[in-house]
Amino acid sequence: MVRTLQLDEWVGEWVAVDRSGHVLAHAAQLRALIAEVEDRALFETEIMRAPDPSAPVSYGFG
Amino acid sequence: MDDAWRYPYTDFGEGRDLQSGSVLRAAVPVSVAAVPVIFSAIIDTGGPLTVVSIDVLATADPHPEPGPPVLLNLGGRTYRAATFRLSLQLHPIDARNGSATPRPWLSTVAVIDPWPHKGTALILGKTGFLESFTVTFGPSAFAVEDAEAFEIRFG
Repeated sequence: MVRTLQLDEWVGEWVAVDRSGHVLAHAAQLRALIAEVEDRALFETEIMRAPDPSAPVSYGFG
Repeated sequence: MDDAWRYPYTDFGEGRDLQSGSVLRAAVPVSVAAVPVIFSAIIDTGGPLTVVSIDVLATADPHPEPGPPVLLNLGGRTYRAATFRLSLQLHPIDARNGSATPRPWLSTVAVIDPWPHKGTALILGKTGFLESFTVTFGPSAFAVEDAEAFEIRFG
């Protein structure tokens, strides 16, 4: 039972992901993405930042 | 909470070069109460305190009053972090399975600015999350229940 996300296209950006794993909005700054989610009423999405797949893995996701 | 809410582990795409397989995180959907914007939040069982980005706090209306600051070391840097009592809501991963009503709780959070984490805008720690819920980690999924579930199960 794993939710696998494909976020390589948006490395380093904040993304709004729907329940199917599709990115519906993205922005370099979290505040800008929150504003877009509110403006477009993308309230079925979940906001996270797309990691760099080649970067070292961090404890605490830092 | 009538039933346990079950969640899959999330593969955000970290460490794709690793030979050991996927990097999986225990992440849950969380929002500030009465605000429909949902954030992915990592559960950090080793984290003593729940920490959030200032942009998450900014969605709260009304804005909560600050409490005493705390000094936190994150990523090799020391932060003087303001604390707040913030009303948060836990969401199920899939509203089709069980109740879709978000579960509210009042969380003590520390606000880190600038936000150092590369993954999510909230990290859920002992204070501010694990004191409010019973979380059971299984090999392939995890579940979140009411805080009382632990005492009922283990006495």
